[in-house]
This record gives sequence, C-alpha cells and structure tokens, in this order.
Amino acid sequence: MQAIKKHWVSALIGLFVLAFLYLPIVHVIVNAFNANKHMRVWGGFTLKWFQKTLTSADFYDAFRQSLTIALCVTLLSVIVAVTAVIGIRSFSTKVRNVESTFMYIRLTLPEVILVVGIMIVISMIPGASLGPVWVVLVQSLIYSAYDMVIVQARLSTIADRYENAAYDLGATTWRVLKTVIFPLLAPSIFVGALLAFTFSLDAVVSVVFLGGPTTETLPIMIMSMIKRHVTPEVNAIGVIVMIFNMVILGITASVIGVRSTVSAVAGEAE
Amino acid sequence: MLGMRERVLLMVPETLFDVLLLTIPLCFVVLYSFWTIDLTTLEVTPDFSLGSYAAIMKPIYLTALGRSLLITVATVAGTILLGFPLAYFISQCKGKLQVVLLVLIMVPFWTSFVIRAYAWTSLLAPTGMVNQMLTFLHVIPEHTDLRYTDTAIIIGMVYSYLPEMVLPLYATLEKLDTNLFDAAADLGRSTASTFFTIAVPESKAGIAAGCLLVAIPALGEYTIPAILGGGKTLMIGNVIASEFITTGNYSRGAALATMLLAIVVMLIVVSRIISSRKKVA
Repeated sequence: MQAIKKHWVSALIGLFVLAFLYLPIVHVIVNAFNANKHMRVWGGFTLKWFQKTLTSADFYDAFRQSLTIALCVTLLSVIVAVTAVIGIRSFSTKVRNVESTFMYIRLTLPEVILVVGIMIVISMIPGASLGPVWVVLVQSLIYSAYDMVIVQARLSTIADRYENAAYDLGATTWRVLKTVIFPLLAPSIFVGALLAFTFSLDAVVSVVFLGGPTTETLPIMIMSMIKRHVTPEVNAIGVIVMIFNMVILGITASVIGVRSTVSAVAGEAE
Repeated sequence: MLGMRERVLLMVPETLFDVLLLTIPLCFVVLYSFWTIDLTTLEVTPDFSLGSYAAIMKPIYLTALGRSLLITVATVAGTILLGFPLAYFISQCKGKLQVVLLVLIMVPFWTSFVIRAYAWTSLLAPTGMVNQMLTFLHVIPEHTDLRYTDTAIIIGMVYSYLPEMVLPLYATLEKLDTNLFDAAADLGRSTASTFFTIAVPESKAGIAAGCLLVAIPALGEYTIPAILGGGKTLMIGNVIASEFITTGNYSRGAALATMLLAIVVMLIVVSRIISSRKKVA
C-alpha cells in the first residue's frame, strides 16, 4: 500500500490502463445478458443469447474443430520445445546462437509472411491442398517458440549437479531424463502447454490462410458472424469461451501453484 | 552428459520445423516475388522478372504500406506511454499486490481476442461508452463515428499489444538495483525525478526489446484492421491476404510480403547496431 502512496502518478496511470484493458471484457459480459439486441442500452436480463448459442449445431462444430486443432498444437509444440531445449544445451555457442535466432524469428515474424510462404509451398507439392493439418503445423512452429522460452528459463535455474549426480550413480540417459529432468521441468511444460492451447484457440491468421474452405474454428465463425450484422450471440460465445479458459487456467494453477504460473508466464517476456 | 547421438536426435524435430516450415517457405516468398506470373492462368514460372514489383508501385498498395508504418509507430508510442508507468508501478509493488497486478495484465489473454476487438466497435460507435466519454471531454466533436477509422485500429492495436510491452518492461525494471532508488531518495530526489532520471534511462534495453516485440508483428497485423477497419481501412497484411486468397496473384502478394520482410529485417538490424554501439561506448 506504501507503493501506491509513493508512486501515485504511476498508480493512477496503471489504474487507467487496467480499466482500458477490462472495458471491452466488461462490455462483452454485460451484453451477453442484455435483452436489447443493439447493445446500446440495458434492455433487461436475458439468457436467450446463451440458449441460441448452446442450441446451435454450428457452435458445437466450430468449437470441436478449435479444440481438435488446439490439442494437436499443444502436443506437437511441447514435444518440439522440450526436445530442443534439452538437446541444445551442450552444443557450441555458435550453434546455440543460430538456434536462438530461429526462435526469435518464430516469436516475432509477422504471421502473414510465414503463412503465405506455406501457401506457396502447398501449391507446389502435387496433390497437397489447404487444410487443418497445415494449420496445426504452422501454429506448432510459432507457439513452440513460446514454450521454449518458458522451459529454457526453468532449465537454466536447475543446476547441473542433480543430473551429474544421477549419472555418477550410474543412471542411464533415459533414466536421468525420466526421473530427474522431466519432473524438474514439469511446471514449465504445463505452462507452455497452457499458452500454446489458449493461443491456438484464439488464432485467426493461420486458419484464414491455411484452413481451406472446410475449416471453421470458433474465431473464424465469430468473424463471419460479425461481418454480416449486429450479433449479440457473440457475447454469449465470448462468456462461454472465457469460462472454459478460466477452468483450464484454474486446473493448471492448482497443479503447479499460482506463483509458478504467474512467474513462468511473466518470465516469457524476457 | 547426453551422448552425441542423443543430442542430435533431440534436435531433429525443431530443425525439421525450422527448415521445412520456416526457411523454405520464406525463401519461396522472396523467389516468387522475382518470378514471372501469367496473369490469365496465374501460373508462376521461374523466369526472373521485376513485373510484380512494378505492379505494386501503385497508390493503393503504397498507401496501405504507409498506413501500416504510421499505425505501427502510433501503436508503439501508445504502448510505451501507457505501459511504462504501469510496469514501473508493478515493479515497485511488493508481495501479493504485485502478483495480483501481473495476473490482471494476463487475464485478458484468456478471453477471445476476436470478441474483445468486436466489443471495441460498439464502444467506439456514436452511442458507445468510450465515444461518449471522449465527446464529454471535448476530445472529439459530437456525433463522430469512430468506427472503421485509423483511430479505431490504433486503439485496438494499443489495446491488444499492451501486455507485450508491459511484460518485458516489468522484467527489466524488476531487475534494477533497488539501491539506486534508495540512494536517490536518500539524496532528496523526488519520486518523479527518480522516475525520469533513473527508471527510464536504466531500462533502455527493456524499452528497445518491447518496441521490437510490438512493432514487428504490428506491421503485418491482419485481424485488428479486418475487424476494426470494417474492410475499408486496410493495412499491408490485409492487402497481402486479398492477393493470395481472393485474387490468387501469388507473385504480387509475394512482392508485398518481401517488402514487409525487408522492413522487418531493417528494423532488427538498426536496433542491433544501436545496441552494439552503446556497448562500445
């Protein structure tokens, strides 16, 4: 509380920024229950937007497609990230620099450039066509970089001595991985998986370019809904997705603890 | 230590990804921009041509590129102005409050991005809450429709890129030696003066990292202008999308993507030069 008094200007700006971050979310939640179709004034409490959403086959279909893609992306990106982070440690600085440059490119490169490159490659492979497989691949490529930052941060805090002790005691490589390295990395792997999963559920660009005509994930369905007309149902969808994500976040936090979740996600930015 | 064979095996998945899904596609983007396209069949043949570059030297493409640059600059400026004080405040807080604030920054990540962007179109409409607040404060004249404008896109971009500025800034500020702040206070510096003479200059590296983290993806942004620009105000990412998806002119789209790539590479090189020069000095 002392900090607030001392830095009241920063605190005030911070408060304003938080209000700015939460305003649209509040708007979505309020209007998910607002009977007024145009969302301008409060028209009374209603659950009809939820009813409309939860009885629509399109919603379930899109949600199922989103979940399938997100689960594949989570699995693939975690595998790529964990193997690379463990493998790269003992290579020379030169190799490691090349690898971290690639990681940085994957983290920041505008997605548009990457997906059009893959569209070109698909057009050159005989018999290949756009589809969800490409969406999974490109999302795994991008989100595994986030996973790597998180897992690497964790690995760098683990001293080599645990591993060396295990080797000295005669453990095989596989045994060391299974009983020493994986358990120590587990919290960061969980957070990485969580990030990949939630990013994938929200992804737009990769699906728009590479999904082809039959792939319609939740964000794509929402984008086509709002293009046509004012649709209060999207607010209900928003609340449903929010609750779903909170449950997943809650499960992760209860497995590995709130502090490690926060510090792992915050540490990602370094 | 892992054996050589195991280490190499462990690197296989990532290397495959980096080569097949990143390096090769990027090479083809550049190649296609210099190859010849038959405008009736849209077939691309590997004969050198600058035709696609000549074709994009038209006002519609150049305006979209210019607008992307302007919107990116505005987005970076907006995220620093709003994000730095917040990051500074979080770094000065201790214990529970700090954790709560960090959680509050991250929670919006877990709400559908498309829906949050859509919410801004309602908030910016003449009857929307933000619009009426700005009218009340005389920032904008009455009955201004802010929807589907550059302003709407900038607000949406600052909104969505803020966490990517706040988190690296927080990470830098958090690592600063607290003795610096204590010394400044002991020597009678005011909080404001400490902020500007210690916090800001000492976190230059974090600011630079945050700027790149925001600017690079912002240049190629597709989703925000697609929603908040209402299909009228386009950025380069949307133009590339329409060349590839609607028109099917891969060479022209590739030329636009290569220009974007060149700008991104330039940004990174310039920032590397600046940071290495600082180290020498």
